[in-house]
Amino acid sequence: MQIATSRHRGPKVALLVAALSLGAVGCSETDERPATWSYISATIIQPSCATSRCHSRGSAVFGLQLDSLEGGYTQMTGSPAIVGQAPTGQNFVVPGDPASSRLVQMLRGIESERMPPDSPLPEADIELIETWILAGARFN
Amino acid sequence: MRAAAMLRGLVLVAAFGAGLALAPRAASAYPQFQLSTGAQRCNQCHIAPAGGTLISGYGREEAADTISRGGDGGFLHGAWTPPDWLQLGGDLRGAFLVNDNGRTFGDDSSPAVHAFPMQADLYTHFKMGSQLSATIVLGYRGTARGQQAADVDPVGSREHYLMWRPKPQGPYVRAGRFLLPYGLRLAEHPSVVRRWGGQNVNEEPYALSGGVVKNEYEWHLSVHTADPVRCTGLGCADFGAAAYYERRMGEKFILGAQARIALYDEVVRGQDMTMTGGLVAKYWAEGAKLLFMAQADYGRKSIPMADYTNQEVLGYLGATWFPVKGIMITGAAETFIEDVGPPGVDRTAGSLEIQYFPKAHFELIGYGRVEADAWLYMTQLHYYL
Repeated sequence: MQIATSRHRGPKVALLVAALSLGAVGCSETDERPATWSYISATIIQPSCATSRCHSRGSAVFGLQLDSLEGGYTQMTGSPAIVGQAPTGQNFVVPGDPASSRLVQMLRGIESERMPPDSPLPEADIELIETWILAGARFN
Repeated sequence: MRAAAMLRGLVLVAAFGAGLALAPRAASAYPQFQLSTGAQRCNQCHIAPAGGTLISGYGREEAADTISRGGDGGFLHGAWTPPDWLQLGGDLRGAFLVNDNGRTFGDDSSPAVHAFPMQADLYTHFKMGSQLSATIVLGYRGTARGQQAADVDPVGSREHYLMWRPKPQGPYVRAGRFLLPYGLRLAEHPSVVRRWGGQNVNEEPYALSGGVVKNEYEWHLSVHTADPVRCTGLGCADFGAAAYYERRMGEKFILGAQARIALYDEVVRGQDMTMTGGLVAKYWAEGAKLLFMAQADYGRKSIPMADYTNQEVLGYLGATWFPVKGIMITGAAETFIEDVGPPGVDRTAGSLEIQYFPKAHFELIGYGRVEADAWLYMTQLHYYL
């Protein structure tokens, strides 16, 4: 499943040959990572977005604080992660509809500053997030 | 001459202060100077046992005589020398950045341009007798992009610690907040071994650290916990420990090994533990004036709620050329593989950096970096007190 094709591949080939050799680690052909919020938050959103200068309790740029499993879910979906918690006014995810989700648009830089601005997510990570949204964007 | 140099410095400081809202940057040590300047240890030029922040008297002399194309490396260009029990310093950096990461606004897909403050830190080091000291780094906290929450304190201290160290060579213990001795500790925080290796900007934890530093070798053991308010990111585990060992083999080759474990609140972070370990190497080719540096780490991150364990790989390979006194050119290739299982989850980059040291205290940097979906170019002006 791919909502948008990857674009804007930079002029990287010659400069990255040596670097690619560093990354020559055996990989499987398919992405078997779990498309769950717990995985996405811990390995993609928090390391990439919740740095001390961006969407963490230290800075909370644009009011977004993504440095916790439950808080990040609530801020992304507008829905409480746990029954009884208050929803937020922000909603970056439309469950079941990745293409309409602001989160996906920002990760691809469509009509928006691209996030994260310093180091965009690999396409495989964006696709994993799309899979999670397509499955209902549950707190799982 | 001293007055003129001092005036130039003050003008530069004023320009930074007036035009920019200042932001701290992490450790500003240059590991390229180890071996290439004849120094064996980082703490020959720096006060801290593993390098970074305030430079020592020897470091100030080296900055003028060996690294720069002249000048007086002393505090305030030698206009005033603090008493023996006090050492002062500071780093000011301003940057101009062009960043293309593939964004589009309608028909506009032009690169983003930012002029922003990078660092404004003042360093104070007090000696309390012959064996005890206190170090405080104080900086103004800002952000390059976006807006911060209103309650964020703009002034922060990313390093402050007490240290027991009878002599520069030998045992030491320090307690407080500081960047952990681990890996190469490059100045460039976008480097994957810092950005994704738990040593990003403001990821200095509170730690108790001890070890032995000698010309032939050094080792450091640290246990740490996070600053509950300011410290976020991969480096700020609820509890962790790190070990680093470095062996100098003659004056040309260094081999190091490191290991680290970080424990997190599983409910908050979604992960409970990260274990990382790896190697560091440096080789100085005297004839070619080339310094090679490498770091490789492998890590496992467990995510219990997802019933999955990530296997990460971080790699850095760089070469620095010193063609003439005052110029340093570094090319590097790097990769961070988020998980070795699936394809296409690496962040692979190449970078080229040219650093020019026209006089002691001054530095001009040109830095270019290319990643798969992005590139950036940065010009940086650096002045140290």
